[in-house]
Amino acid sequence: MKPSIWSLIFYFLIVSPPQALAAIPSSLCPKGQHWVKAYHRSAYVRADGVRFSASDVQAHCRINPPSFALWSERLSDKPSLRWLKNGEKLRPWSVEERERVLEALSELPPTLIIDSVKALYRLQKSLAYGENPAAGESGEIGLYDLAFNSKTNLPRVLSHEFAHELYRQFSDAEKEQYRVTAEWLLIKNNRTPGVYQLVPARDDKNFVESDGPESMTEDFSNNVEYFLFAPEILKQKTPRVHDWIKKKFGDNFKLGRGSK
Amino acid sequence: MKLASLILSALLCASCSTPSSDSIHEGHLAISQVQHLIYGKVTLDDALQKLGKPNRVIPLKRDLEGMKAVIYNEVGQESERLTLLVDIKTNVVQSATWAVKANESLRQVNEVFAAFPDVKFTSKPVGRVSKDYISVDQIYSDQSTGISFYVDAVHQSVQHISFSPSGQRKLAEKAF
Repeated sequence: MKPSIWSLIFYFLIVSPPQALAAIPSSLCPKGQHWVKAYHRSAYVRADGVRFSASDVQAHCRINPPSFALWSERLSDKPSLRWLKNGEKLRPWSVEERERVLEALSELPPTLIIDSVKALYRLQKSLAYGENPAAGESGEIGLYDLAFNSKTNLPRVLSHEFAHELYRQFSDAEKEQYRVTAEWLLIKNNRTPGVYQLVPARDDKNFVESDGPESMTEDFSNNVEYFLFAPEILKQKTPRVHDWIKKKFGDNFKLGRGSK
Repeated sequence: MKLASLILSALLCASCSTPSSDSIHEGHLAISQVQHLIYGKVTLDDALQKLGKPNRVIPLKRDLEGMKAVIYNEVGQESERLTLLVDIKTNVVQSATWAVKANESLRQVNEVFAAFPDVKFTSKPVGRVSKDYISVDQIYSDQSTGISFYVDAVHQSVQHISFSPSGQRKLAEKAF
């Protein structure tokens, strides 16, 4: 939606026209909308898998996605020391990326968009694993260049990372319930001390992703991601986990406009 | 009468201290039954004599191929209380992992320190557990006794305590 004509006239009178559009603050947009500067939008994939081709987006007032108020403040350009200590390099958020992340978050179920995530950072490339679109530490998520690739389903990437945080914040009882349901065993593995405190009893073929057996949190995040984006595969691979997620989070745990 | 009660007591006592390996584990296990076994040396048969019959035995895969998990559930629950890692070929118990449940003693780090006053634990963060997840949970361990425990960083709760071969022989010998 465009700002009111009086707002625009005011701005054109005060500042020169080239800067005017860029300078219009969100306060001049109608309530519940924010100002988006003109940008080139690359091709991308929406949460439901629909592909959009590249286009030039004109400056406009945009209706705030449900998650806007909370999450626009948390797209941070100042990563915490732990990321910098790991040698990760910052990339400032572009207008396009901010809009895409806010839209993606609004597509995910509110239960998943857990409030303990206090910041989302934009980083260049995963130093540990180059082909990684995102990574998470306690309360923080880093999104790499690959997350904004035209073939990457950004909401899916975000669902996976938020699922890690959800797992991290689970109570002991919830972790225990999931562990028993997903057949992870409490074992001290002396062959890899400190790494495998939990060992999966399921066969490899019963994991939705090959990295699932690496850890229970990875298995959990993969399963939440598949529950939202490919439920039939999850149901086929490990029906007990599918049913557990369904029962645990309820019928509203699905893609669509959230309420946060 | 006196003789009869003596015989009865003897019979009861015998069945309590040396449970038959054929009898399923029915009562609550105590960590004291577990911590003094000599891992890397004790056989599964000997362990079963002390602990009773397990609820489940699961052959393991991947890097634990050739091993099996011998599992004792918490009474009336589906979740484990104790898991023994057993080498199938030698039948030797390699390690034991004791689950610490909510609201139990040993749930807090200080309680574990107090329970093992002679053990010099050092801690380290779990760190990267997958390509996109770095855990700040902590593992406390002591190489000389082979005891370690796992602490959930968010809730600051001890999740499980493990006993391994490397030095626990020393601890066990000391205990006995």
